[in-house]
Amino acid sequence: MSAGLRLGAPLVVAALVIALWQLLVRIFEVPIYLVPSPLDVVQALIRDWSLLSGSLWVTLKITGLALLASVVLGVLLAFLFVQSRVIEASLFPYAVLLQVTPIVAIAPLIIIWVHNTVAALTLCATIVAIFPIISNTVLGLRSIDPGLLDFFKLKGATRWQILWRLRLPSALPAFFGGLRIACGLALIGAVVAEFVAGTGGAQTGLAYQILQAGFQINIPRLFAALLLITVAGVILFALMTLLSRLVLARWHDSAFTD
Amino acid sequence: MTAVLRARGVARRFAKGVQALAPVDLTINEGEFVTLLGPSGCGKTTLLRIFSGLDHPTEGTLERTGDVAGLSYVFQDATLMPWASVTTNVRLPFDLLRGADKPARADVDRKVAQALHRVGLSEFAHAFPRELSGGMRMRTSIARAMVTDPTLLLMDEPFGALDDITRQHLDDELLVLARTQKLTVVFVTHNIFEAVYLSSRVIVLSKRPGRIVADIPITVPVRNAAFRVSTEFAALAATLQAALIEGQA
Repeated sequence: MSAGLRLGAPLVVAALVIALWQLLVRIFEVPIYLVPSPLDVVQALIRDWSLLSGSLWVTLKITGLALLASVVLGVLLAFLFVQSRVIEASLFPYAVLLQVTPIVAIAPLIIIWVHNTVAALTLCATIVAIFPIISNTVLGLRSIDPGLLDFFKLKGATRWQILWRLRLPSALPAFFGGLRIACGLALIGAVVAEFVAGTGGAQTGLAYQILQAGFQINIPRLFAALLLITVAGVILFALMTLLSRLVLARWHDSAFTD
Repeated sequence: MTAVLRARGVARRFAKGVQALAPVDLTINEGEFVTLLGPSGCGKTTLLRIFSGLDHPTEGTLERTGDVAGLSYVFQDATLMPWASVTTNVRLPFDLLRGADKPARADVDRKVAQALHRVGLSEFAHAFPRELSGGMRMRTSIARAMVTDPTLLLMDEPFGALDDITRQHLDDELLVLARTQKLTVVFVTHNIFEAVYLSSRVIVLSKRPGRIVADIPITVPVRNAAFRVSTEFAALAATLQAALIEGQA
């Protein structure tokens, strides 16, 4: 598929949906506090930009920190897991436990325990985002060509050489798959945690703006904040995909098949 | 004649109780091109892995003269690193050396270039494995095996996945390499014609658990297209065929 089509087709869909939305709101004279028209949302976005952009920055900061923490901790844990089956068997169930516990259920506790709001929210988002990194990296580190492993052993390669020269590059495709899932989850985690925290003050993210706009029945602003979260998520995903393509460019099949 | 490998009563039983290899006595001498011929699953790969040290006999002893540095192994698949160029793949044996064993970078580069030249891949030095054909990948794998100037080359059905024409080309190239580099080669195949064409000696193994059914010398001085269609070739193939059938009984 050509790049033009891949980019153009969804944009046409978006244009059609927005036009239809605008049309329906006008025809049925839907009140602005129920469903604002796209134009109302854009107006709110421009009018409240200073407020919303500040919140967007806070949410993005927490998302970025959580993603970074997930990658660093997740990859280190994955390294640990592949060093021995005993370690993996002992610890992996707890990684699963972390994954299946709803973040809304543990977020209040974390917010009580961790005083710094940014740190608390980052911790919540990290808990949500780390699992795909761990599980995909473990899978990748184990998915090595057995013949190539034999070759390394035959040449007397050390454990470190096998990890660095064989396991690590072999793990990259699976790792990037995990990273793409994790970036979306980090954003979701950041937003959900802030919903639960409901903290005000100077450092408020987009979730707080949505809550406030809801209380004040400022529905256009609520939509504008929602739009920013969505756009941020899409851009993040696109960035990770681009990164993956750059790194795997010349050797992995996934960079060639569309 | 100097023995390079000497197996005395070498047998291999796997953990689940499967006997892969019956006790085998076999001596391989310097300069020989020995083919292990047998049906699938007869233990020829197991024997080759034992020769290399990748696997160990559960019975018997194996003696290998010369150290492991002089040994190279070519696998059934090319087993290249897909993330690395042809040059980096061929350089791998040197990259895995440590400390004092590591030769100077200039020497390494020269040896790599030479190995690529020998297998006719100089123009593809910077290509990636996925950009190569199956035959070219196998050539890369052979270059990686040859770059350390081995004296003993172990090959496990290296051309099994290739079409006949490509395989015949590679067979010829291999014969030239073996002769010019004074290699001792142990070659595993289930292809009778390839065994006749390449070998100075063919060891026919029975079905599992593999034991030696026949040890047939092939003393033809010239290997070329005419040899492939000669009556002598056909007669040798018939002998191997008969031995294989005997091993099935």
